[in-house]
Amino acid sequence: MIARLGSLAFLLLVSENRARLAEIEIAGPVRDLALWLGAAGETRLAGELLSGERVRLVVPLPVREPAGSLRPELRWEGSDSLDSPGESRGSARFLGWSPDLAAAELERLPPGVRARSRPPVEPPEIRAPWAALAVLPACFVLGIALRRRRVASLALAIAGSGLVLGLAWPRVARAPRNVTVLESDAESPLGLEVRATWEQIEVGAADLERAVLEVLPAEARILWTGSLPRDAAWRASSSGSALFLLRPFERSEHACIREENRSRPLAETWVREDGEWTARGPWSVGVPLPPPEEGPPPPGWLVAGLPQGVPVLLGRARAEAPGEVVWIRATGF
Amino acid sequence: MSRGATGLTVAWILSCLPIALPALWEPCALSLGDASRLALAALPWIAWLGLPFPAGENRVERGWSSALLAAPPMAAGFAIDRGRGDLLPSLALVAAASLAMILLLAGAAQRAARERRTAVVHALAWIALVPGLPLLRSALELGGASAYGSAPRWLAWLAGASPLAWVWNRARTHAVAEGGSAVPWAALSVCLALWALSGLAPRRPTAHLGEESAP
Repeated sequence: MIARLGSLAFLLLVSENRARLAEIEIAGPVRDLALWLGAAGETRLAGELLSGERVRLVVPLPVREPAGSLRPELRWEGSDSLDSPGESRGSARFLGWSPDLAAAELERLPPGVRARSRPPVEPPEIRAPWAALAVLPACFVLGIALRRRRVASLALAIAGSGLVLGLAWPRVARAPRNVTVLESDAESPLGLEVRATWEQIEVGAADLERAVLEVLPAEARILWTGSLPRDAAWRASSSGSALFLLRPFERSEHACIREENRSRPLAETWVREDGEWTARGPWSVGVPLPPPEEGPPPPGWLVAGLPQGVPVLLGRARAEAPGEVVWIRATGF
Repeated sequence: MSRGATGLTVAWILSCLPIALPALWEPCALSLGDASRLALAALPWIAWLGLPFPAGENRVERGWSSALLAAPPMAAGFAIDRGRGDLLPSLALVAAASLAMILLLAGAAQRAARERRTAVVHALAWIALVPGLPLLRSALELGGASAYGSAPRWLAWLAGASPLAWVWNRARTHAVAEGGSAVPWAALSVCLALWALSGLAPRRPTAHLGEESAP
C-alpha cells in the first residue's frame, strides 16, 4: 500500500534525471576513477588506463540539482585529487555537461502520459521462520554448556548453523523484479517505456543518451558503475530505492488496435469502455480483440489516475524471462 | 552467571535481534530497511569477543569455543540476506571474513591475557585499531567537518581497516555493490596483527592458568 501511494505521489517527489551525461578526458596511468558528487552520489569507472593512453568518455552522473556550473570531484584510489595532475600519475579532466537530449525528448510526450502512475516495486519481505528462531536459543544454551569442549563446540556450531540455514533458506529463489510498462496515447506518435526495478538497474551505453533515470525517494544517493572500456553496460545502484528508467519509443512499434494485436502476445487483457472495465482474457498477435469474459479486475496501480471519458486498453504480456513483467497501457484505444 | 557469560548472552541477544525482531514486530522490518542481517549478526561478536581482559585470567567464555556461538545467528542472517536477493559469493565472503575476524580477535584476547606485558600491548593496540580510529574519524567528520573539511585520507583508510568499521559498512551497503565483493584484507590484517601481538611474549606457565571456575 505504501509503495502504491508512493507511486501515485511520484510526480510530486521525482522530477530530475539522475543519469545526466557529462564528458571527461582521462590520460593514463589512471586506475578505478571515481567522479564524486557528494550526497547525490558518484560514478565509478573500474579498470585502468596505462601510461600514454588518453580517452574521452561520456559518463552518466547522478546529479540532483540542475547541473549548470556544478563540477564533480575526480578521484581514484590513493589519490587526493586529479585536478592538479602530476607527471607520473596521469590525469582526468571534467570537460562539461552534455545536452540533456533524453529529457528534451520526454517533453514531446503528452503530459498525461508522463504523469501516469509508476509500477510499484518494493523490497521483498523476508523473515526468519519460527522454527529457525526456535533453534537459535537451543544452539546458544547447548553451546554455553559445551564451551569447554572444543570439538563438541565446533560440531555444534556446524550442525546448528546447518540446521538454521536449512530452515531459513528461501524456498523460492527471488528473481530480480523488473517491471516494464509501455505507455501510449492514440494522439501521440511517441510512447513511453518505463522500466522499474528495486535498487539496481542496468543500461546499455548506447541507450544512455535516450534514457532518463528517476529514483524514489528523490533524495536517494545513486552509484553509477561502469568500466573504462567503451560501450560497456552501466549499472545504477541505490540502496532502499525504486529506480525508474524512462525511454520514449515510436508508438507504431507497439500499437494495438481492436482489429489486430500488433504488439506482443498478451496473457491478460482489459478494456475500459463507457467507464466500465471488462476482462478480455489472452490476446494473441494478429487476431482481433477477444469478446468480454469473466476475469479478475485489472491491478489498481495500473488504472489509477487514468483520464476519464476515453477508452483504455490494459494488458499483461506473456513472460519472456523469469522475474520480468511487461504491461501495456494505452489510452484512446 | 559470571560477568563473561553475561557478556556472551548480551552479545547473542544483540546478534539475534536483527533476525528475530522483524518476525516479532512488523515496524522493525521497515526500520531495519535493507541493512544486511548477516553483518548485523556478526557485529556484536566482533565488538565483544575481541575486548581485552586483565592478564592472568583465562576466560573460557571469551575463547575459540565461545566464538563459535556466533555461527548460528550468522547463518540465519545469511539465509535472510540470500532471500532478499544478495549474491551467494558476496554473502559467503562476508560470512567467512566475519567468522575469521571473530575467531582471530577472540583468540588474540585470550592469548594476550596470559602475560601482563602482552595484555597491556594488546589492549592498547585493540583500543587504537578496533574502536579508536573509526571513532576518531567519526568525531572529526561529524564534529569538525563543517570547519575543517573531511578527515585526512590516510586516517579514513586506517579507520576503514578496523574490523568494526568494515562490518558496519557491510551492514549498511550489503545490497549495493559498493566494494561488497572485495576481500577485506585491511581488516583481516588488523585482526592478524592483534593475534601476532598477543603472542609476542613467551608463555610463562603460572598457577592461575588453569580453567576458570564455572559461571
